[in-house]
Amino acid sequence: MAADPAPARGGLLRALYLLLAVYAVLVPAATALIAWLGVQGIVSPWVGLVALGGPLLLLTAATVLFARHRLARPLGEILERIEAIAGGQLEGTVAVERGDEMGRVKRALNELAAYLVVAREARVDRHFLQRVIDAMPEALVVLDARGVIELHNRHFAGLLGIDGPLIGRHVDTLVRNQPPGWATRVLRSGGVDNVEVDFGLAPGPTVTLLTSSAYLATDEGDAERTVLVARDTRAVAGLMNQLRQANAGLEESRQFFQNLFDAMEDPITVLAPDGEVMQANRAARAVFGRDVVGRRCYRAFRMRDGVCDGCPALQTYASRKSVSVEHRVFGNAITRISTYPLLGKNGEVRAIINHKRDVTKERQLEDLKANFLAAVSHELRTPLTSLKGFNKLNLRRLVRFVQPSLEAAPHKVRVAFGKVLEDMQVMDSEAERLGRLVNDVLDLSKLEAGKLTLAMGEVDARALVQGGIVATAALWRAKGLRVDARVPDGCPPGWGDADRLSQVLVNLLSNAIKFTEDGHIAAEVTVHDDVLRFTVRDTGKGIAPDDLGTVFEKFRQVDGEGGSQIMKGTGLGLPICKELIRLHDGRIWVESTVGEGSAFHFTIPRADVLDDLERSIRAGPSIIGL
Amino acid sequence: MSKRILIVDDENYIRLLLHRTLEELELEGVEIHFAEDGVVGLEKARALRPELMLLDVMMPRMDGIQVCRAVRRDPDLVGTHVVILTAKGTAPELAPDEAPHEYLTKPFDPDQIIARAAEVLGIDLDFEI
Repeated sequence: MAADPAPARGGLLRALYLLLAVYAVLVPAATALIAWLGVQGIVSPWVGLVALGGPLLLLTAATVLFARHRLARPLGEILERIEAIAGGQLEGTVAVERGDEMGRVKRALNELAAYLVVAREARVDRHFLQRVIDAMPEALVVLDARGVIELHNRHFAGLLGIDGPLIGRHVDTLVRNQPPGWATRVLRSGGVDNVEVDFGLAPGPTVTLLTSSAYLATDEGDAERTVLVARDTRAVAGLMNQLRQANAGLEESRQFFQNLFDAMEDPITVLAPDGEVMQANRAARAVFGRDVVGRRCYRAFRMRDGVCDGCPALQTYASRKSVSVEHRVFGNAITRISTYPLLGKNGEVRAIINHKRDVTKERQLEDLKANFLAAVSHELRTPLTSLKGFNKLNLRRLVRFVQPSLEAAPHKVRVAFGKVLEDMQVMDSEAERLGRLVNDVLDLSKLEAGKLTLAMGEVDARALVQGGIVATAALWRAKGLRVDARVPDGCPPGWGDADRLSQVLVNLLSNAIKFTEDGHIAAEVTVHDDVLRFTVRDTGKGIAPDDLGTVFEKFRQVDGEGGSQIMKGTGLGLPICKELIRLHDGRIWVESTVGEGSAFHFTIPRADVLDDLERSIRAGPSIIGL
Repeated sequence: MSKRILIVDDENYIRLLLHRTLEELELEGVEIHFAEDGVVGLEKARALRPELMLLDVMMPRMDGIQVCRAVRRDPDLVGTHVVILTAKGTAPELAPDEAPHEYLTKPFDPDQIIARAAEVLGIDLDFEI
């Protein structure tokens, strides 16, 4: 609080001194005058007493009034205010009327009250601060510039096993394992990070605290302080231990997968979407060079493979599907590159696994198998052709030349002749069946060996269905059945091999006709989002639920004894259909209720929703979608 | 000059079967000749200039496909109708000027063979098939 610029220095005292001086002069002088007048007998002593006493009385009265007004009243106000302050009533002031001593006392009193208000607020702030830092889960200490503790929280004292405050102690007296002057160095260095420091106050326990410090500058920049934050390492140790274990587990797992990765005989690399080689296993490093990681794929692979034409990684990136491509390199060697997408959370391609495999031997074996099968089937077919052909010739000779001459023969001979003809018909149909079986076996082994090349193109669903119905006309006419075609107008084209799809449809229709005695058969096409669905529906005997799962398995045809359907096929028709539809990236399945009929469904992609890339992936003989 | 059929097959019984099948044509004056492999078949084709040639595919020395190509490219043999007897689904793709006139699949139906042969040779058979 600013002092009065011109205090009436000693104004009240001077007035008092003046009064006393007046008394000191006037009272002896008046007394002497009265005594002299009385001795001279000029005036009677009483008169003199009265004449002098009156003014003196007036003077005294004036003095008393002055004292009351200028001393007693302000003093009373001051006392009253002091009592109020003592009672905690800090707000309010006393009126300062004069610049005299009383005024100065009052002013000082007001300043004191104001200071006490500030001090009280400061105490409240500090209390709040203390509560805040006490609430912290970590130990906190504030050191002044010399390293003396200015402030700390309860947790700090608690960690040291001390109840009371540590304020005023030098921090060096609490630190055990640090060289002398540690605190000063911390203060000067401006801060430390996670240093393990042993704290303890003899004879209390020693605790190791993970200590960090921060420099705390004040506004004025004069009083520097340091804040220490300490964590109990026992608590931290648990966490650290968990972290170490997790890290160890992670490292073990990483090592395991690295070993696994390296143990693969084939070169495997992981490519980033931009083609950079992110990882390579031992075989890949051996083939592409030790420095393959970090290089671009076309640099890393090209010199050895020439794989950029129809790059499977690019196709995988674009289609998010696995792609497999085979290349003939160095004469007869065949390499297969398979790529698999590694998808992120949102389905984006984050990386591509690139797997290179030498499939020369596999392909040679497959060729061998295919050649073997072709040879075997040729060898089987030749005698079969002879059997069937000679049987047919004999039948014709018997009918044309022998039968007419038997008209006059005995009944027994004619009956026997009729039986011979019947039995030869059986031989013919059985030879026919054997021929189909040979064909089916050959077809299926080709399919399974991946040797069958589909001639992919747009397929007209209506033409396919009508073609199938025409192809089976002999069968359904013979049984007096009707086959309906149900294809929606404006049906989009499918994507497939028309001949092979026709084979599937004819097979399904033949089955339907075979197992339907009366009622009708329908060949339907329905259009779905990405696919066309073909359905062959019959009102035949149906298939027992137990057999539904196995109708597409090889040689697992449902036999007549089971009561549902009698097949006189090879048992390979449906497995072949399944393989063919699988090659079309489609699905084949059956729904059936015994006594009501069956519905065989299969799907093929819609040609109008495929883009060029997908067409190319689904078309080429060397590129097979996995 | 009588009409000629050349049967080229390495299997004895298939040749016999085809002969038996077609023997009725011999009554109509058709000559039936045989060759047991592709090389002999081609030689005989060039020597005989048959109207109809029935060719097996899998034969030693020279297969039916090679014989077919050679015959179809031979200007002297433009009058030869080439039929390849093949198993189902094993017919290779051939350029139009090298391809046979038709394929017949094994196992074949004798009635079908004789009907086709009679049609190609322009002979009316005296019986109903």
